[in-house]
Amino acid sequence: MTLSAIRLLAPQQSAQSVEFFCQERSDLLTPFSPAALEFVETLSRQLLRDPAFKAHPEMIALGYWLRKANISRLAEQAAVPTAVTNHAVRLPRGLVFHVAPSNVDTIFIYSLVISLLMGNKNLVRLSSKSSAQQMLILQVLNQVLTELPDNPVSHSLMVVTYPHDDTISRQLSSWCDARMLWGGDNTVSHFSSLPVRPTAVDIKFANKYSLALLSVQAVLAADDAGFARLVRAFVSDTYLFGQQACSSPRAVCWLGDTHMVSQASTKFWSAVDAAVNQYPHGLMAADFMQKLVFVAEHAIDYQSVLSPVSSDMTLTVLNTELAGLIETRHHCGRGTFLQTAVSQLTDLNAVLHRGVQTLTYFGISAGELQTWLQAGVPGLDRLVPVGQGLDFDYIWDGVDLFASLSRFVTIR
Amino acid sequence: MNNLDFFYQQPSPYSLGAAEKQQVLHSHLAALDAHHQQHCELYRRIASSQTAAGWFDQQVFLPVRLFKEYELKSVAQQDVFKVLTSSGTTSQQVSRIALDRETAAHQSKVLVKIMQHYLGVQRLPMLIIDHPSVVKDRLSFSARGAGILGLSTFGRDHTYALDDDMQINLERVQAFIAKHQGKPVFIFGFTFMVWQYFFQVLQQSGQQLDLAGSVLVHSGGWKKLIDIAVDNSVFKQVAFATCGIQRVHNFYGMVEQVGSIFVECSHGYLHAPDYADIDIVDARTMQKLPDGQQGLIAVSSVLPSSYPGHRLLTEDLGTVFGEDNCPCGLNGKYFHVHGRLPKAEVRGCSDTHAAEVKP
Amino acid sequence: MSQATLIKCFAESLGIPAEQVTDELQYNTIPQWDSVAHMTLIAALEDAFEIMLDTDDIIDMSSVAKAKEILARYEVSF
Repeated sequence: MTLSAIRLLAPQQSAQSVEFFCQERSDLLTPFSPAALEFVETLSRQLLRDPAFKAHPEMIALGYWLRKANISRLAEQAAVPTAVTNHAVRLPRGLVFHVAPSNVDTIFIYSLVISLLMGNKNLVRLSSKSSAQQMLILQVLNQVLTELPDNPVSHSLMVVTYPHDDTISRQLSSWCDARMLWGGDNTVSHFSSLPVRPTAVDIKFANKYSLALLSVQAVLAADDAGFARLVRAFVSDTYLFGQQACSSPRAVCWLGDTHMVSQASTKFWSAVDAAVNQYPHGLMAADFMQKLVFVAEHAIDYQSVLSPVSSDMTLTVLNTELAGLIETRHHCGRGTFLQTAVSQLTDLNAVLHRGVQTLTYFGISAGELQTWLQAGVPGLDRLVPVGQGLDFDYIWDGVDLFASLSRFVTIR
Repeated sequence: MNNLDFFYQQPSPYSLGAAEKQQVLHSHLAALDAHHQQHCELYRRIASSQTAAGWFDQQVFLPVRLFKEYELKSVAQQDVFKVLTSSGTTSQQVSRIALDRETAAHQSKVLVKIMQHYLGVQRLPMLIIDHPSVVKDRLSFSARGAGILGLSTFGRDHTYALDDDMQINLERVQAFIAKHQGKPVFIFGFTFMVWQYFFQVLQQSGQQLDLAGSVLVHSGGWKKLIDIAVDNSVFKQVAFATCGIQRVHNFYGMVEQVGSIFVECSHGYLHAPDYADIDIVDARTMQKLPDGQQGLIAVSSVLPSSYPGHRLLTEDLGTVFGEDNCPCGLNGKYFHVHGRLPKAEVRGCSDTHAAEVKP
Repeated sequence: MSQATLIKCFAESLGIPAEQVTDELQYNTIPQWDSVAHMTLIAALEDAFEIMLDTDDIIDMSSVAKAKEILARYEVSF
């Protein structure tokens, strides 16, 4: 047994051993317990009030999502229909083992919070490669744990790290009741090969790709204020995290009259170009170099051509055929957009697949989108208006996290 | 088809003044642009994309990294005479450069022209700071092996200073020195190897070798040395202190443009020869920067016709200080290399640390 | 009372002096009121007035005057 290689990161000290923590089940809470609500509220306040996080939009966004009003709304949304509650009780699953992505992304915290709201115990494995973001996450978690020493949630959470070691991962996997795998496709596949117990569930969030769908007519017809709002919303969806979030659009598809596309696209990108040059995007020479390589790769693979709409490498737009719109192998993000046009929604079906997650839309009615979806599309997990691309939802990648991280006990 | 006679006829590889160079070099490079557009479909696609954005005054510069991913060549497979690969020191992919006889011949000839400028036309006794197995497998050249073989042309009585276990074979080195006592000697090695396995070992053991009057040529980059705070001046001091070497020439070159190398002059600047040019590029605008400003190094060479490597954007940072007015008296642009472009922070959940998942 | 609370929320969330919080102050016209600070602001308003804002109202809250108008609909009087 090599569990001694495990390093505890939060809480900073614990009377429980990892082994004991993972096997004990008597301390599970119930869904939306006051203790869990207090814990989440404190976490949110810490993120929003501590000036240390001011410069980290992802931490502010997390704190914002965790604010009391939003959690109450979630609790309402997660409320079980009476038809079910009459003969079912919702309980936590037990121990949830969270495997965070190696480039620590805050997104796994969202599912961690949902898990603790459901009353589970949580073991989080962070990458052994320390990063600034990882330090911030630990800092805030430890602040909350110190502030709430008597809250039972503080004793049902452990954040650990260990050098890559299958023996440890296998052991921890064998103890959990649910395993949340975040990360690149390789990481997720690799962890999946380590068995969990037969009664446990695996929830996998692999790398995904997102795109924006803009109506040609709506962009051309938008009034100044509406157009400015669209541009701002698009920029924050895409430049807030250097376009690295899975739900940040990496492609733009125009829908409508093909003769008007170039006019609409010129109007749109000129405004985006001006906006990103005012935006604290943090892109550096190495990012631009990465983009230059991608431009060449995409030209080789799909014969795409750079669009002259941008004034420099902060914004890179590549005109491509539909076939080159969804490019998951090389796409480097960092303000790089593949662009094409379709005359009807169903044309997109040809390139959609299960790796495509979010579609942000502008100027297209919900009814029109519903009709399209109901006829069956080969991909997509969520459709949201432009500007809400990065908002987390309890239904993520098509998985209802409340349902997945709890269980129903029926009684007749 | 790639006729370089005009360049070969110059009295030295640093003959052309700015105005003439502009005219001759650039018309030659423009001809290579057209040649590669016609013979390399992948290059044509990249060129169509880049020119649409109006970068680099409408010239097309390929990022060097592309040679690691794609087989970019402008000759038929049966005309490929050998394939150069960059050193596989890391698990990363290696560059593969397809050479036909013509390009290979130009590479050797230009290297001769440039090296003779520093070593003279006589072939000197040559001490190689490496171990002999690095050149054993002649079918698959590593960049280190290729570099050593390429420069071996300029020496005779080739003697390897190291054994296969990277230890100095002092007996062999002393015998070499004794044999050529009082005559100039040519010493070659890769910067890091020369420092780590030769100078430092000598320095630590307090041994001194009498290599006064010899010329040391070295290359391969400073990255590992900068990490241990060794710069060019420290390197030169130790060369003198341990071996009495006073003439040290670093050179900058890459496997993607073998031949037209940039050699350090007597005043410590790297110089562009007639066959090549250097530009400094602003990564944000993808436009060339004026002299004195730091940016990405873009290198041009008239040699590559079998692969589209005549204009390349490197991932090295440098500054050009001027053209034709270096205190050393040589023509051409002169510059410094500051090191590799710092890596960008990687975010998101894609597999960037693939190594981590390997058992 | 509500007026003072409102000003305090704006000043603290955006990190600006209270005098700068006037009805005319608009979203994205000063560097301190950007999309990130907007999130802090919304959370502070919800906390202070014990309300839960709709997404549309969060997006529409483009000036201090507009904030008052929206909050009024949540039975906060000024």
